[in-house]
Amino acid sequence: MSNDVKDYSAFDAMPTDYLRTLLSLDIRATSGVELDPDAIIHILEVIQSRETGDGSAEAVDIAAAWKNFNEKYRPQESEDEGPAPICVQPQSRKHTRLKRVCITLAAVIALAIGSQAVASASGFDLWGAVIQWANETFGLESHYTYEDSSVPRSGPICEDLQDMLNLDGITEPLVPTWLPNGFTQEICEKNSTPQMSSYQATYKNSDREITIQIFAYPDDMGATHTYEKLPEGHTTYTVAGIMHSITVNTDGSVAALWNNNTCECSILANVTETEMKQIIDSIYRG
Amino acid sequence: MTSKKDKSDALIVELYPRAYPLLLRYATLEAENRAVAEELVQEAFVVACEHPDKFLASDNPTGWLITTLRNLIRNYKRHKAQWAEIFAPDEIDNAAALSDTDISGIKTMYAGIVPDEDLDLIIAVELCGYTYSDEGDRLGITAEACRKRLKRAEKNFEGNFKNFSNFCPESDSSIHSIKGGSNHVE
Repeated sequence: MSNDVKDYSAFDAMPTDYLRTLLSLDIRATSGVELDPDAIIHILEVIQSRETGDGSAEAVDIAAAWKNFNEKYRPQESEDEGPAPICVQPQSRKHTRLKRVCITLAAVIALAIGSQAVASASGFDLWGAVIQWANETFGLESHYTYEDSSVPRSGPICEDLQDMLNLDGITEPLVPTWLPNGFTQEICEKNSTPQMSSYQATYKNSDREITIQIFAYPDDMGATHTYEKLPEGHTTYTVAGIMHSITVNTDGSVAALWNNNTCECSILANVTETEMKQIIDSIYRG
Repeated sequence: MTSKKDKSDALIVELYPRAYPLLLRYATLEAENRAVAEELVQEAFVVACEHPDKFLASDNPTGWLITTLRNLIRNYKRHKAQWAEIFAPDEIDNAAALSDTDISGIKTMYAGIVPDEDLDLIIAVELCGYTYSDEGDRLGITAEACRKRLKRAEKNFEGNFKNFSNFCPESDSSIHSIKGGSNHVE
């Protein structure tokens, strides 16, 4: 991920179904998989080439699509939307229902174990994806805020993570006070449902990235389930009596996961294991 | 002198033939059907049209379109889930399979929050899986005009929904018993 010269040839030997799964994971915001656009293009071209070769490619009428784009989609100077209805009160209502489980944990684990070697070769954090998928399995998705993220965004959109936790009265030490040099906050956001609040901050340094996620549950909802699903090969690092599970990918990216009371926390980062431990240490430095 | 808009348009013309099939393949992975995937791809090009500065500033315009499309797909899925949760929380994973009777019940349940034609549009697109293009054809407007109308209708719905919900407690909501079926709108 941090190499200047990117080699995507590892994808060339992967089964088509696996490549499709990778792309699907990449699309899902909560999967933890984030392929760079060139990798996506490379994978799509590999799939396209294979489907063209075996005759399974669906026909695409580009001329018709282009005509359709110009006639129906291309923005015009004055677009007639018809009369504007009356607006009463600009507020929204949030429902209280948990999203139902739709991904089985067995499938997630099978994918993780069966594909770990290939995934490592391609340089992305599959375990991170597993963690996120598992989170999703337990209903941690937040679908309640509207935002227009169609355009790739840059720059912080709110204040820092600690401020948000302070504001919500979360007093446990959860946020690192130290990050390796050069990382600056790109994203900091919160989503809430009656079941939990999720806080996420992403820091970037060139193409290196650190993402911190915190899921805060009400007191009567435990958050220890993710420990049951840790892959083999993870190490543990205990600070202030709290066990942190750490796994290192071959590309140097590192994932850490831990619970503190009713908060479930993770850090996914392009840092060394030593730096990850320093980041963890800084959480409890006071 | 050529404007940024003109340059952006020229770049779209150049990229479209090669990028469209790739983008469509990508969108098809997570969109609920081919028509929705095609529309999401067109929307990615619309975003490029609307943001010529950002599009031209990218040293990898196809990559920029891919990233834009990824965001659009994510927004699309999140948005659909939000509306499914409002209209049919018991069928949130299968909202497209609601029957005509189910849809009629939902329309009755939420009648009056916004004008009927706006409610029809919201339900058709957000719950039944129709595209802007489908609904634009029905209404005699372009897909982009339909998207803007829908956005405005949804904003009004959200604003008015709170008032409505005061008269319709969740525990008394008949839509919670809705079961699956076909996905046609009246």
